[in-house]
Amino acid sequence: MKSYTDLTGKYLKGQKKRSLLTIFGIILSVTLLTSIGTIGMSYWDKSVRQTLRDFGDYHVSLNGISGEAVPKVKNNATVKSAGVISREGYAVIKEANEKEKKEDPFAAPYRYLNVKEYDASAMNMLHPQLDSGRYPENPNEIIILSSSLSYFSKQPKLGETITLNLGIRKVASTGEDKKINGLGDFGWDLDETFQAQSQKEYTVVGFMKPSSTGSWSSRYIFPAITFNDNKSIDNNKNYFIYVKMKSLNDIKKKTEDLMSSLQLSNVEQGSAMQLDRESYIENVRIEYNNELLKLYGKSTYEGVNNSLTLAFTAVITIIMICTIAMIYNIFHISVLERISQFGMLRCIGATPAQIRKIVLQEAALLSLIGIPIGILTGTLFMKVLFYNISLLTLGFLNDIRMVISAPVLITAGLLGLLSVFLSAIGPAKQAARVSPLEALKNVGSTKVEKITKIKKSLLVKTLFGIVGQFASRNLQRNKKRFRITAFSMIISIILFIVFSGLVGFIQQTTQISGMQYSYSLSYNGPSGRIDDTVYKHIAKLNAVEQAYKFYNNQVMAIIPKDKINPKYYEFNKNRYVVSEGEGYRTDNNYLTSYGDNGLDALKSKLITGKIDKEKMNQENGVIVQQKITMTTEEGKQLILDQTRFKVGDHIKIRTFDRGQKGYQTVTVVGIVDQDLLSKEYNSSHVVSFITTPKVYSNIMGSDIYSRIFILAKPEISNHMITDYLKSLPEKDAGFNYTDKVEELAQAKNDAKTFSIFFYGFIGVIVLIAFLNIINTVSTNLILRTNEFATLKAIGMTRKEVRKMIILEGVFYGLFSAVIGIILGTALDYGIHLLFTGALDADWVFPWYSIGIAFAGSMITTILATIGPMYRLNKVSIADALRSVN
Amino acid sequence: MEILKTVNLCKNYGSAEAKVEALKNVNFSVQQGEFVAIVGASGSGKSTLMHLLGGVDRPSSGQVIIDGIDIYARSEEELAVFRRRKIGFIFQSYNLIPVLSTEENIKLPMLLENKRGDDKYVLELMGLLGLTERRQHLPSELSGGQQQRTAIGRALINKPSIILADEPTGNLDSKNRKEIMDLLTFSVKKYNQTLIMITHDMNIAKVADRVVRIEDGVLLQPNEVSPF
Ligand SMILES: Nc1ncnc2c1ncn2[C@@H]1O[C@H](COP(=O)(O)OP(=O)(O)OP(=O)(O)O)[C@@H](O)[C@H]1O
Ligand SMILES: [Mg+2]
Repeated sequence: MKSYTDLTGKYLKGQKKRSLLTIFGIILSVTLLTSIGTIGMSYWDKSVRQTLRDFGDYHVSLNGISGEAVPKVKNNATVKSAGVISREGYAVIKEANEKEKKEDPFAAPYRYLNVKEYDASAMNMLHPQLDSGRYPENPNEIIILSSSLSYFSKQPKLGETITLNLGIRKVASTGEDKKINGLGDFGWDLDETFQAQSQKEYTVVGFMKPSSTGSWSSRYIFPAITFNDNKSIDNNKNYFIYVKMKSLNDIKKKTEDLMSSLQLSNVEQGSAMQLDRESYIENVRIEYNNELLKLYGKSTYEGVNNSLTLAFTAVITIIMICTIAMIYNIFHISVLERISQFGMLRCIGATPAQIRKIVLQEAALLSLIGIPIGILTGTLFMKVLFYNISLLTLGFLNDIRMVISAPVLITAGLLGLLSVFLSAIGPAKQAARVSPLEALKNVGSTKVEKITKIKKSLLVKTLFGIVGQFASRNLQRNKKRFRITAFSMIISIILFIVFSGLVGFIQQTTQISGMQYSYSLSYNGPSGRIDDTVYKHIAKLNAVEQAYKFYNNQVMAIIPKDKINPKYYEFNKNRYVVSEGEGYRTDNNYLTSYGDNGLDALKSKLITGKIDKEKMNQENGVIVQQKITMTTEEGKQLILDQTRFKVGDHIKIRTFDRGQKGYQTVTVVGIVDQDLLSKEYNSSHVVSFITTPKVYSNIMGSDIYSRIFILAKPEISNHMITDYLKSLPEKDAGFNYTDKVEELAQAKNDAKTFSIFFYGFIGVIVLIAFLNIINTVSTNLILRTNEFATLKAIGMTRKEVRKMIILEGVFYGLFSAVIGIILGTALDYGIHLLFTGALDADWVFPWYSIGIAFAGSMITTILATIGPMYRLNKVSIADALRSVN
Repeated sequence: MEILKTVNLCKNYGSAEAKVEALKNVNFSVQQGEFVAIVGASGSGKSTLMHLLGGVDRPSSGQVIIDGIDIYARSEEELAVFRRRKIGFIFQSYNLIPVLSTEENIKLPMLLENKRGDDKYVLELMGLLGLTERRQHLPSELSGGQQQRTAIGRALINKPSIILADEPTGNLDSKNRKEIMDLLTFSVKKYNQTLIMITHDMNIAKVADRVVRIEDGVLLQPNEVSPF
């Protein structure tokens, strides 16, 4: 031994088990930090790429800018680059003929190409997705949407020339121009004419992919893009400029300054929508690409930025606290055990600073081993996870690539180091404070720890007897140690509750896929009804798990004033304007039945109430679905109830059909938040009443259903179903069916991926907590080996000792569970409040996580106690006594 | 009346080369009410013998018979109950329970019996031990002598027929040592208890009815002992 600091290494080697445990803790924590960082980076990278694709690679767009202003924008000091788009006009590719008009009186009179001119920057920023070909490079070249091809009388091929009559749309009856708001137009008028203004020839050089979010209106107006360097600006034309700023800071103010320098102020501002511009009603003058800005924390909606940063910080903090709790415990215990040794060192002249150094150096040495391994295992862990994700082909993580980022790895390492340092500094100071006297004092167990004053509890005594009282006192004997052990449990419980809450939050904000079913068969023929034989045939098929008849019709309902959620009323006042009776008459309500088996399946979704079909039939019972999700103009997502119906309420509803029955009273027998086939909240403002077929026909005066939802068994080949479904339209053109098998599989994959993440992280956190608890609890017990031996020597039976030790564990568990659950729930609520900037939903009391946390903490402590207990009971009393004598 | 007897008692530690024969064929018997002092060099096997007599260890071979019962033929549970009724242990380093007060430490074996206990006796004992003032104190708040008196109180509370003391005065000054000895001998006389005590203190050994000596695990009978 050359220097006193060599003691560090000797101590670590002497306490091999504990050192390994510490290293393991550090590794786990750094692994977790690395993984979270890597996931975060990869997800961010994926989101950026996806956002660039869906929303475009620009920061803000300025719409309808006059020609003379274009150079001013381009040359503005704050602007880095600008892409310019102008409109060339519409070109008719198909006109509806008389036959079509007769069949469908609402058929669009024309189908158009909406020809726009992009310069090179605009092309780069909005980069339309091509099916084939290339981008246009001169004004004679054009790319068109591939799905428009079928409307051409002669379908153009790649490289062929088309002649377009470009012009404007007019309202026939008034002769006025049809108002064009922006780059695209929504819908059509039956009373619409087309006025050609010029003719132009283009070479088709590419076909664009239909947008994945393509809505039905895009079937009437299709985008077409040609090239124009937009250098010769036409002062009479309006331009659309897509701008990238030099810096994203204060983007809102900079943009406003820019606009006012163009003498355009007080213009409408908003958030950009996805790139499929053909389907938007209007463009506002300034559109921030908030989806992209958000990813850089620069959204013009402050609340959104803060919420995201907070969420990330919260997760990192949680991990660090968890790590610190564990490593602190280990160091604390190891210092406690060596009090007399430190006393010895002090006796022979070590200064407090030297002793502190010994302990801190232990920490440093352990970090040196643990952190690099943690970074490595974290990266490996992610590699495995990403490999798994890549197997899950589709899903919300589709297209994610693993990004290994040096800053992330370094940060994870530094955070790990910081955690270790923060953990070790307290125990190091404590070791330094040890007085030399400690070494001279009797080494008996009485002196190792400071026993604090103990409260007597009559309750514990009467409940658990002398042994229980003993156990409870042992917990109080050393407040500090008790606090540490309880602390680590409490932290884990809080973690669990908060993390579960966060996950729930994420699940709420990620929309999945609407209705989830395998097939849907619907009928639009003259009878409007699906015959029961069809249903029976389908229901009997082997591969069919469930088939639901879908009765569905809009109804009027009178909503009593006090049943309207005031918060919802603020957002949607115009829904409640027609007073009738004691409330408002509303139209946006549906009476629905999924058949009797549907009601059975709905039982699992019931929030309150009871489903009893007999009773429902007797009293017109309905189950109300009133919760919806909506996004406010500020970009904030709300999840709230439209109405506040409760079980037992009566509601008056009636069909729209005047000839039919009038108002009838239904009774609320239950509440659901989500529809039978949906895993998300409704996003349309509809109150649904779900009921039995009998009640449905009572109220509607008809028992017609025109749709069947089918859930297929995943393990059996579906061809029996598809064969039958295909055969139906062949016989009767009124039938058509939708196949969502793929989509359903994808939704399940999403759920699976999500679980991998969720349980992966929860698993590691719980593991850290578990190790920590085992470590503390067992050390607590082993430190008292001699005491237990004494108890046995004076006649405590093995059973009594065991009971005492287990009770101690139970008390630990109980105490920590109660405190942890209270704090965790409070924190969960706090985080819920923090997030209200981005998502405002009713806070749900986390009963479920509380239950798991409670059971978990009891099981953990008992398990943590049982191991060392058996080891203790194996030690012979004589040996244990001798270890002190 | 013979209260305790050992038959060919052996205790080995370790195995093969590292084997230590801590006790070799000890045959030894004690009469009720007798005060036996065990002396011997450090490492000679005194504590080992004491532990075996008290039923806290297991012999490698041989028997310990107390009141006609072969204690090691009993189950662990029975042994524990037997200990708290028949035997009072006093250790050199007190081994008090740190979370219990003086009074509670003393009452503990009684409480383990789940009986209401004889509070008068507790008070009497505490008075005798000079601990009345200290009854609410935790062991960490007591002096060494007070701690040892508490340990003695604990050993006596159930009025055991045998008291086993392993150097009970080893850590004490001469004044305390004498007090403790007086206490012990007083109790032993009063309740006709048997006292087996390990000691290095010749003055104490002299008070004993009989002194047995252990050398390297072998018990030397009194007639083999050179008189003091
Ligand atoms: N667990 C053990 N493993 C191996 N050897 C042991 C063990 N316990 C005791 N011994 C040995 O057995 C022998 C007797 O030990 P014991 O404690 O009975 O001595 P003692 O007479 O009480 O000594 P002292 O007066 O120092 O207390 C010693 O040589 C000791 O080294
Ligand atoms: Mg000894």
